[in-house]
Amino acid sequence: MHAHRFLNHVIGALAALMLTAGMSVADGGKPAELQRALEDIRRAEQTVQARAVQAVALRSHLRQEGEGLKAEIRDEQRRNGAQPYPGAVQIPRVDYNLRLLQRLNGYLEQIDARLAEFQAVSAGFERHRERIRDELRMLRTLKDADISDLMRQLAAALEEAAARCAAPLVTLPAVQRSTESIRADIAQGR
Amino acid sequence: MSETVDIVKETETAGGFAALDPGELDDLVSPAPDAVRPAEAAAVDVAVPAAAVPPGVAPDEAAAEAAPVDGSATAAPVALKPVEARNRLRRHGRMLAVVCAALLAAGGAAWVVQRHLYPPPGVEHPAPAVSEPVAADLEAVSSSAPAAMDRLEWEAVFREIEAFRHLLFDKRDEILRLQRHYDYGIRELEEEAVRLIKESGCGTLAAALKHPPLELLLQGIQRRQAYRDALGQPLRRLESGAEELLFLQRRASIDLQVLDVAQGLDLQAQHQAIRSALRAHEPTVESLSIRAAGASAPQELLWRRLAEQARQTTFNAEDRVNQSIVAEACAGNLGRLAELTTLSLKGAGCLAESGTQELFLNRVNQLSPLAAQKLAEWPGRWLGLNGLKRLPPETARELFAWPGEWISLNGLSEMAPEAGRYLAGWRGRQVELMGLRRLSALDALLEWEASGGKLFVPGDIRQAIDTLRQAGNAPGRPATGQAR
Repeated sequence: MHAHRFLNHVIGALAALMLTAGMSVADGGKPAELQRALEDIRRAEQTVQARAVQAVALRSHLRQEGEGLKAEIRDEQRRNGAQPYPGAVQIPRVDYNLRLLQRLNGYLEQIDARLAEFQAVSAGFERHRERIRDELRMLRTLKDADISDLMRQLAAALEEAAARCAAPLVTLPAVQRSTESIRADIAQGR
Repeated sequence: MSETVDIVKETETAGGFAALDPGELDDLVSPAPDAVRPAEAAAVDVAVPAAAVPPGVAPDEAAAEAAPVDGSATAAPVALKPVEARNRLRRHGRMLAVVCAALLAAGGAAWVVQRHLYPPPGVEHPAPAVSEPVAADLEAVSSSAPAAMDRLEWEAVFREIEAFRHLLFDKRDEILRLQRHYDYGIRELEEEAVRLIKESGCGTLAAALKHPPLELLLQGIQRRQAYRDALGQPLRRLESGAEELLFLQRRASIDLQVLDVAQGLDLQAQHQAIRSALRAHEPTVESLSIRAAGASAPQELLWRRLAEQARQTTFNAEDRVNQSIVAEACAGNLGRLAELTTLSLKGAGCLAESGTQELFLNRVNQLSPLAAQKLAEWPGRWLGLNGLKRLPPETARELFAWPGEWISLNGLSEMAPEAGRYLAGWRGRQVELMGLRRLSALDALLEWEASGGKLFVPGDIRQAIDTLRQAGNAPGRPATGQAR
């Protein structure tokens, strides 16, 4: 009877031990979780950077277009003589180009704002990366650390980054600079 | 625990570390190489050591061979125990083996699943769940571009605008030519009116209006002025239409560039605006019509200007001869052109319409830019103007727009650099400048010759040009002599 009880205890202890060992191997533990988080950050950062590269390329292209329009305005002004704003906008090419520049400026301002956002997101990722490395060191030294808060924050940051990347870079500019101030800038060579 | 963590963090920060080395991270994540994995350890516990098995003997056989040893060891106690107890022990042994096998299987399966989902660094694995939305969003961003058909449609619209604007420009150029024609006609009539005022001696407008040829001339001038000025209306409409369409095209083009990454753009409305503009700027009879084309300038003003010109002009015998030669030329008789000393606007107009291939006006010593412009419309081959002693840049600009082949200007002793610039761009084949004495505009002469033209100049000028050419072929200077 004693032997029977002893065997039952041994079986129970072995089962618990093996189950724990199996589960431990299965989830890889907190270091693996943090390692995956680093990988998540790397991927998300790549996405943000790809979006930023897209924005920079678009901005460069739109700026180039804007310079072409400004050059045309200067040519028209040379041809027709320097005039105050009301007279200048009587020249169709000047008037139309100023309106196009108004639109372009609206887009460019939005792209600049989006690029600043992407930069902020990247900086946030860097902070998270630093913290993850800190936690990994902690785990190495103390064999345990509470990473649940970090993981929650990171999940929120990744979600926000994804949302920012998915959002359009520009919308139809609602408020635009006046064509008069744009023309003043052109007159001053800006 | 948290206090300890903070202290460790502070200590490490004070130590100045910024990040871990990649190796350190690997060490943290994967177990040490010499450490035995739990599953492997379990396997070692139940397996027969390979070293204990003789070569060629299966593990089961080895276990069977080992059994008598164990059996002999346990034979005595077993023999002492009751059968029931022995059977119970066997059942427990079997149960233990089954449970161990099940646990091992569960652990192994979990290990396989973990390896599949989260492989070690460097091994390709599917994106973690948290990364999927990011990738999906980027995918969505890049696939939010309009369908290829939309782009093609817009390209077609832009091509349509381009073609339409070309149509407007062609019409504009046509109107500009007509305007120039009327402008020239006005000058021509004015020239004639001045002569008539001088000859008739009319001192007032009232007197002039009683002189029918003069009255008709004045009316003709006014009518042409009215036409010329009225043509400005369709001209402005055409230019305005072309500009508006360019603006609409550029606006849509800008928006199409940002479309992939934008929201709320009004491209559909823009498309409608383009359609509407294309309809509105169609160069129809109605849109090109000249409305309210009245007399351009008051007759009194016109009269005063012409009377003043007549007062400053002298008409001598030579002018009368020229007038009669021009009259003959306009009637188709070009036989006396060699005697012509001044080319009037009317004379230039008649010569421009003549069908001859060669015109020798070698006694003409004055050529106004306007007369030169008209003469440049003559579609002949060889133009002789050897009587010209000077070639002002304004006249040179018009003359070297002539589409003929051969021009003789042997009366010129000097070619001004400004005039030479226009010669350099002339598309004819041969220029005679045998009267040149001064070394000016050599660059222009060299440039024109280098572009394939045949240049006839005096020896010293030729030598100077050749020297310049050789210097031009020196390293660092563009080579000359290319075919045009």
